[in-house]
Amino acid sequence: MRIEIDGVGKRYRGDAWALKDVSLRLESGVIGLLGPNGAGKSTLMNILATITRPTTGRVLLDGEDCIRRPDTMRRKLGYLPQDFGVYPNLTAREFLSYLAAVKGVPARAAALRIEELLDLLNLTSAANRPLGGYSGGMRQRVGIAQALLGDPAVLIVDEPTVGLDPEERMRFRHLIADLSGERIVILSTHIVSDLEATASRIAVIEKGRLLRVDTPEALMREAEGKVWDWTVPVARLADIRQRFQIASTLRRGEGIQVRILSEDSPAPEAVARAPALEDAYLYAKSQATVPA
Amino acid sequence: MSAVDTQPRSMGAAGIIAAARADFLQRVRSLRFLVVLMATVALGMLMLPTEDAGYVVLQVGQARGIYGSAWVGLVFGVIGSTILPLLGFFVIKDALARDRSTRVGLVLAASPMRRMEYLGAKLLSHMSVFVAILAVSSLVAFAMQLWRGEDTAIHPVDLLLHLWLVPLPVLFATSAIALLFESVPGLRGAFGNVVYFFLWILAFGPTMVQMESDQSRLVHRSADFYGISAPLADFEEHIPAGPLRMGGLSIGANIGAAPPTPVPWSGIANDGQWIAERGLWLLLTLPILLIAALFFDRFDPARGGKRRPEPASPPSQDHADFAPRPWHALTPISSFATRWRPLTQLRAELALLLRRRSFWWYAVLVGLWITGIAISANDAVKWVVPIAWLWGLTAFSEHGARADIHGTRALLASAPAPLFRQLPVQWLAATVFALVLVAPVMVKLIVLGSVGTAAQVIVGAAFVAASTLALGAVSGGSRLFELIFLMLWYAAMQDVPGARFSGNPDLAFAASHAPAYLVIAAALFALAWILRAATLRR
Repeated sequence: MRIEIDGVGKRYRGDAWALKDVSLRLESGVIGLLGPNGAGKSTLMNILATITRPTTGRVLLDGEDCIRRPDTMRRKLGYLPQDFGVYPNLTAREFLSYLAAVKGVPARAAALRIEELLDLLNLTSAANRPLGGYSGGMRQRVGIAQALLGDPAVLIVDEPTVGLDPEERMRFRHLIADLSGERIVILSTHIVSDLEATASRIAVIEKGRLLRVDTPEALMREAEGKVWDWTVPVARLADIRQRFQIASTLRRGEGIQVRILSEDSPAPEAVARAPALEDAYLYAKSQATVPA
Repeated sequence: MSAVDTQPRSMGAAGIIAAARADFLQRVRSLRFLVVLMATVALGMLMLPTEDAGYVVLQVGQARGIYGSAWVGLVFGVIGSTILPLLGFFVIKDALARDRSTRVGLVLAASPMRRMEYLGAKLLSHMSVFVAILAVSSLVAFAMQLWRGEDTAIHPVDLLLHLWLVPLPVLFATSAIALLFESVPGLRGAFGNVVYFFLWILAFGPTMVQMESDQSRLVHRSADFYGISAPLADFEEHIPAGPLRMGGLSIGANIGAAPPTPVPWSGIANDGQWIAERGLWLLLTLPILLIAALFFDRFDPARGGKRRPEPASPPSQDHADFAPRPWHALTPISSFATRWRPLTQLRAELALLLRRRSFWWYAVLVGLWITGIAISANDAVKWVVPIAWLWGLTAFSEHGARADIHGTRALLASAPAPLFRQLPVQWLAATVFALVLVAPVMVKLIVLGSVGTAAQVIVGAAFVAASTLALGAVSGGSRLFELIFLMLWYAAMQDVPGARFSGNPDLAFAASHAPAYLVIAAALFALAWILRAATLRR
């Protein structure tokens, strides 16, 4: 299975391009879309999920044009949008049954699959309660369940871990890792740690442009020797922020430990560190220039 | 150590105005507001019909005022005081709901805002919508006076005083009632809209009775809430004695009426008592707002009554057994979604329509079923069918815009063939639902061999189903359908010609309006299809 994104762009009113000239080839495995809020990740996800029509370009699934014939994609798709609603008077079981019917899953197979998904996502004990009383995390799990109702060959999940507690988030990462294989899983997030355990490739998007597509290892390799820890007095922090790109800060007894991305050592007492994916992402972003 | 407390204790006047302004701007910058103003212009142009128009908007006996400033202002004012409160209620009744759905309410609830301040701000916002409507009406009124040309002398005080002072207290009360309905949990939704509709009908009745209570006059003057008896009684004084004083009072579109005779009238702009009465009626707003404040939950989700705390999951589910079941352990579904399963989908849609209603909803439905069996088939079609469909209004109205109301559009749009597979089944489900509501009547008609009447009811069901889908697609919500359904329903119950959409047992199918409703249903379905398709192409 293969998805080809060819020169895709989306222009909104006022000549504002949310996405411009994005080309990407996706094959089985998890690809993570990484970028700041407003980078265009959700627009790209909506285009791939056939919710939004692109202004330019085309999307091919195994050579078939999904813009002209969106059902090509929809028949193989499981989609979790960033913002989605539920019918508050229905129980989780009823809501999933309804969506299974809409997706065309046979009733008997749907009933079995729903029970399995409720179990998988730890919703069995709440399955007969109206969704209106669910917490944000529980609703998010219902959203994940509906995306997995069929056997989606393409799974698109947009900010799936929003509202999940740390344990639920880890559970979801396990699930995504398990799901990949023959499937194409497209996972959009601005939380880098969501991708560390799961993504085989990462696409960095900023201001509607695709900056970089590579494996996490390659991204991290590129940042090797460019990540430094430097503990400084609190009073110096503002000055350091001006001079260097900072990945993170950590309060220590003796001051603030600052993680700096720099080609050269920022100070003799700074210590070189092995880059994490978050460092690599920030470094990749800093190296790329977004065309006007 | 002492400190001066500088923390704000309330929003204050500036805060109220800022909140009202923000709410108003949010409304103004929507297509719906533009549509409302355009409709105001369109309806305003119909307020002063020519002699050959075939309808009359306001007449006393066989007379109307010459289209001078005072009468023109009064016509707009009377409609603003009687019809606008109904239409306007459906336009403005979403201020609290919007703050609830956008979560802005939670932010406001965490501020020093007091309930009355918040509701006061919303009242101002509601009124600013009405003021915008009245302002546009004023411009149209001036233009129409000049266009009709019966009396081109413009007297701004006469026109504006009648146009604004007649409806203003009613519109303030309407704004407060809208807030009250949004504050009382049971009245927030479609049920509240139905209650308001009947409240609106019932409230105007006593005023009409009072105005017509004096046998020696056409209009008896009183300190009525609607502010119309004083100017109309004064106008009556100007009608010459004789046949022009025959008949009664007519407000609204009186279709087919003979054109009334124009009579000069200069208005009651100098009637201090009437102006004072209008001012006093404004005070009615305050107790309504106070009652609303008593019910307003300040966006506390715990006061909703439905939400229960999440039960603690067994340890084996939540923490100890942390490794999830492997995905490949799930039962595979082969080639899902390659086939359309309309019956499965129909069952799911019907479940959405029928499930989770209260015990009383089902109890009343059973009562209607029993009544439908007990009374004659003709009476059942005339009374039980429309009442049963009114009873199903909350389900119908939500059905037409469910995805927009609950934010499930993206989930549904990513399913295979969302238009072709979903819309026809949704229409069919609503039609079947309508027929389920009147099932015993349908059985009775078929058993008695009244197939033509049964067919009329089926057409009515199809019409209601198509209406909710089309009007839901047009408005993205349920209120437009509720308003139009209620108006049509009331017209049908009043035996207004052509309004019996639910079937007329006195007529054969071909002679009834059912064929026309069938065509309208098809047109509405096509409209829903086009609008949904446009949404999917974005």
